[in-house]
Amino acid sequence: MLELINIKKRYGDSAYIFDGINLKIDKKSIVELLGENGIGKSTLLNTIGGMTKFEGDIKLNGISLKDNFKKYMEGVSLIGNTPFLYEYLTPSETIDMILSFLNKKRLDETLGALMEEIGLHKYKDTLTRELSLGTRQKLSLILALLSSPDLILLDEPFVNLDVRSRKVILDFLKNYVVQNKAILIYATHSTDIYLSDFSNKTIRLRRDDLFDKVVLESGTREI
Amino acid sequence: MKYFKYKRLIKKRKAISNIEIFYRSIFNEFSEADKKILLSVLYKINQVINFISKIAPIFVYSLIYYFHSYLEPFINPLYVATIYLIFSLWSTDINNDDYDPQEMENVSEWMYKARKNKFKLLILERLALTFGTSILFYCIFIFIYMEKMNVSYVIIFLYEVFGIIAAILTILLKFYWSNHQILFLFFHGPNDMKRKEHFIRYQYDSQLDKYLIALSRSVQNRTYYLYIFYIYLFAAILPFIIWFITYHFGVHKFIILTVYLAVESVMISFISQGIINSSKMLNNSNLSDYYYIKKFDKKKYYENLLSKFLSRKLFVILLSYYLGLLVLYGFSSVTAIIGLCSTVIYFSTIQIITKRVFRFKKLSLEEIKDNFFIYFFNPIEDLFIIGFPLIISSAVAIYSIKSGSVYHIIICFFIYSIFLLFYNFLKER
Repeated sequence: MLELINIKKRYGDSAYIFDGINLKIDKKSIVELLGENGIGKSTLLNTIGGMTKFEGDIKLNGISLKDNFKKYMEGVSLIGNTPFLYEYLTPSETIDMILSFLNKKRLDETLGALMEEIGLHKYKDTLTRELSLGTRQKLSLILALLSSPDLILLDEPFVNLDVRSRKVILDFLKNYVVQNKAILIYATHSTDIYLSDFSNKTIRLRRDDLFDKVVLESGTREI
Repeated sequence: MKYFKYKRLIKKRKAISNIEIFYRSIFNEFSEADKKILLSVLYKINQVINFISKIAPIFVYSLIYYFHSYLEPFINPLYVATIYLIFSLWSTDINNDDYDPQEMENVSEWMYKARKNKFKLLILERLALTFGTSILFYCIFIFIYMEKMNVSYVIIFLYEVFGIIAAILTILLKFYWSNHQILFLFFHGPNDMKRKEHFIRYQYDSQLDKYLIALSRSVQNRTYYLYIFYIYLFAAILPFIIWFITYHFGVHKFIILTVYLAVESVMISFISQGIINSSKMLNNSNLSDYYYIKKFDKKKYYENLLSKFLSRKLFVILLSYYLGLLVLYGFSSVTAIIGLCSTVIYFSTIQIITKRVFRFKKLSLEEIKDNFFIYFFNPIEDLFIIGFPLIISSAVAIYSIKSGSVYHIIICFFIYSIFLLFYNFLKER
């Protein structure tokens, strides 16, 4: 379970963007994070992903981000709006590097199969700087899954993908979340048709003009 | 004209935002209203400093002018002025941002057209502003000095022409070596993306760490090769220079030894920072470094590999230091102890610089996103830790010569080596 406990976030001395957000998300959840541009979706994902300073605490399966950062981060994978890639490495080299961080020798068979299915294997020896945006997104996703995370955070992850790859990836992620009892949160600025059946929970970030802060409205749906 | 106004506005905004980030800890102590006043004061101070640095050659030429009688027995003051001009042109920093073809991806139509049409003009304007003042001050100095020496106007004119030709050749050579992109952009325009990218040699070595491979690939550019060229040139000629000034000019060994040791940390730091700046990967992939360091707790991995990379590239400098020591003191205990000190200084300096690249502990993703190199920059450490031997070198040399003992130099640099070792050990643990 993911718990956000009284999260407050601001930049420097400016007013709080989030002023006391509380949220609980159960395992096997796929959460769609909605909201207009600039409302703070990426900031919220970065906060949950341990990439930014904030007040309050976040717990993943009981592990506190503030008290046990290292352990918490082991369970989280984030794909930011700028993918965390190395321009001067090929996809296979980047995968090897991340595998060495995890003390793993080789890629899981399922991920190898996913790479083939989405066509990433064709570019495995091409420098990342020469890859298209879509191919980079595919690589980011594979890298995020290497550590078998309990929580996957994706910031606008499907925008540059071709229709076939998108379907393959969505199906894969759906199965992953169920089989691994994981949580997936992805940010998007609109309710895209292709994502309509993907999530089982939606969270909308909305600005409360009266109190000048961002509030969360959540809803659930069966999938 | 709108385009030039736009460029100036962007430059001003960049300067203000850099000041804001650099002095953030101070700004946080003030209220919003006071912050604005402080920011505008600091911006104006920054402008004054920029202006003073532009007119700095006036002071240098004035010194040459007033002390020419002291110089004349050794060297012609005109040569000193010309050498100063060439050196200052060569070392002038060119801001590549001014010519960045990718700067405006979402510009309005008029701006796009302006960029297309006025690009050559912009480059010339920037070059005139960057180098023009230096050349102008030089020409004025030549005129005043030669007229005082009662040289005919024709000779003065010819001298001026030769001076300007030398200046232009220096600028072209500088561009050819380290700012090749500007020449390319000047001739081909900002919208020609062909040949913009460097060709990356693609060697694959399964034995090497992947990050090390990426680093090697990311420095395949002229700036980096220029640094390597300088390193090898310096390493090759250093022992000869030492031999020459010791045994032909009879310069005291203690002075050479002190300068020799004092320069090491500064030189290693300067070259390391230059190589890091020239690496496109360290510039562009710091978000990835940040993420993986946080996620996998791999700070040591990144630090070790960058430090390994720099140590290998700069190792010839250490070798030439050993050779220089052998020239000075042969096989002796002095050579052994000083050699040990310079080895400690060498590795510690590299590690101190390396640690700056990955000092992400207190920063968030947003903070490093656009302003990584402001956090990399650490003038206080450069001056008081790495530059410390240079500050005390003259005092150490004089004291040693007076006492006639080399042990003062040895003790001084032995203590400095130990200090550097501890400083590095304790830095951001």
